[in-house]
Amino acid sequence: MSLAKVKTGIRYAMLALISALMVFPFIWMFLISIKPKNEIYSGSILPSAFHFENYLRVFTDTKMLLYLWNSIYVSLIIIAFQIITAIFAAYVFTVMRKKWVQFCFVLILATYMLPSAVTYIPSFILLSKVNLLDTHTGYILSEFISIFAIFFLRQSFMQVPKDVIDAAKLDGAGHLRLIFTVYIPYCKNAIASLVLITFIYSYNNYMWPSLLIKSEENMFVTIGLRRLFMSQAGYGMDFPLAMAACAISLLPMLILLAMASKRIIHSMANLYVNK
Amino acid sequence: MSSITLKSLTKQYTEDKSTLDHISLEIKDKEFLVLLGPSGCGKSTLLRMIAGIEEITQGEVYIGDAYVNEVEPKDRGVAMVFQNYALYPHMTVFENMAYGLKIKKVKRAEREKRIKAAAEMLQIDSLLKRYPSQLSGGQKQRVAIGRAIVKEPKVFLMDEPLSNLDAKLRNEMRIEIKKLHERLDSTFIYVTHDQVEAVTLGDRIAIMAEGKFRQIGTPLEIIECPVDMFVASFISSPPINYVDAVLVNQQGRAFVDIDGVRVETSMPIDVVENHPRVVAGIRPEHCFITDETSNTFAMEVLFTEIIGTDVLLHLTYKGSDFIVKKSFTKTYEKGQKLYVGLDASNVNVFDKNTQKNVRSLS
Repeated sequence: MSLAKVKTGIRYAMLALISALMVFPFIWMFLISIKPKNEIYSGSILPSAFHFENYLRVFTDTKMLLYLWNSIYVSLIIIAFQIITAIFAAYVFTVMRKKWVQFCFVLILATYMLPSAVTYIPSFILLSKVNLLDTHTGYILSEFISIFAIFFLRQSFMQVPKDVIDAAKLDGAGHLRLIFTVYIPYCKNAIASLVLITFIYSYNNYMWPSLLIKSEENMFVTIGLRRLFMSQAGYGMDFPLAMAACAISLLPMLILLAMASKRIIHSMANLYVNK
Repeated sequence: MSSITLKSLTKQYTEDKSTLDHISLEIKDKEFLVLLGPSGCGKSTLLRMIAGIEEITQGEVYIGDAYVNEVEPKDRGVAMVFQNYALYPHMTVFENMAYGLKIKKVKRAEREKRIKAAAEMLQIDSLLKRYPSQLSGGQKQRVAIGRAIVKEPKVFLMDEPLSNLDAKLRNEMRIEIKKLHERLDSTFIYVTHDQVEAVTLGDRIAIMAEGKFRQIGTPLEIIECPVDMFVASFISSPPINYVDAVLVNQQGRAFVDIDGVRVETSMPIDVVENHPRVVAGIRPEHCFITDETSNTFAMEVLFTEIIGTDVLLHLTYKGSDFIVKKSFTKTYEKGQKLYVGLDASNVNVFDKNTQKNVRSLS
């Protein structure tokens, strides 16, 4: 066997190991979700009987479906707003090379360096003044603009060759047409991965929504899952039910990933690998 | 009318240095003008200012009789072909060509008609459904030219359109661009750093250096009588030979005397009196190898370079290189002694200090 083959072998073994480590918690979660309650602490990996009815109980015994719906629709609205605002902002910061515009960009980036926890209290006070605490509107408003998205799109907008832009200008394209027929199609992979990143962030967001949202009917998956654990803490946790709920909460993201994985890999490679 | 007038055009990126320095030029209707110069001389910037995609620091641009400084690029009636094609990668060839027409609200049938005609002219009609990534370099450039043609512009601007192509393709496309100019009846402005392209394509050539014109003229004028040593070097390939010389008045006739070798020139005699010490520029193709030992230079062969059916003899003369071009009929040994004679009429003489052509100073 040649050295190159050994090297490839080692590389694959390492990747397999790391992948296994990453996948294991998910497999464990799934296995617990189908175990009978008394087998949780038994130490056996495989359950003695498969209890898929835990998944049905998630929908009948808990309000997971409502939480899921809240999370998904709010996340989708946030994505839409964040991407639209980021596209326009990124366009301005890419095209206008005036000093004061670039200064604004630096200023905006600087606020990104603030730890988000610092913004909780002022944001909370602001939202309370306009009576938007414990509402989805309030949450959406506070997540309306993403500095990361602006930065991310600006980076990918800058990859569009200047000559292509000039050619479009000579063809008569104005700002909007440039954005919609040149920049967006050119950066569709970046936008697709931004959609995914934004969705994951927004769907996963726990701390800020947990401060903002108090009423049951407005709750998101993250808060709902925590309540599921908390509510039963008194009389022995229903781990299989909680794990089934966790597994279900993963589904939207898995579906999104399956749909967009190719584009994401593509755009990450474009963004971070020197060509 | 699509003449172009540039009045004192200036471009400054930084305050202390001008990329273009008060450029003035008249380009006639339907003329093929080549902007020739080394990279960084401002020729592309000039082209982009005419197109309207580069801000003008100072000066005026007229297309026809219209003052266009404030006119949007799309309304100037110009089309541009870029060095790296600048095709829209997410559109098919057809869509690439249709893009500008759609914006101009050209009717669908008319659009299709124009694209079909241009595609046939450029032999890309079989490629219309492909994407740019599926095309070769030459095909991409044809599409880029097609995208310009369908707009039926008054002025074509071409920014080194052939420099990304390989040598063979470049020769083919050069001829096609020439034909295109004849067929389209438009004004062409063509930027290049390749003097072969410049002389084959241009009705006139404007040679630029450091943001200024050095010489503007027909290819023949520039080759026959370059205004200074920069132009002479730039337009000459293989490189021109420079040798120290003196001008001599021999019974009222002007002679160039290079170390005793004398050739007569048609120079006015007062120039001879004013510029005794000069540099003679001798093109490699204006020399010949001879057995004659009088009024010739004795040189030694350094090496030979065969170019197709011609040969470049790299010789040494008084310690510096001297190149002679002749047809490849014979091989030469390194160190071989040769006698080189000069074609009398083709020697240009430059002032040693100012590097200007002595003839143009008279």
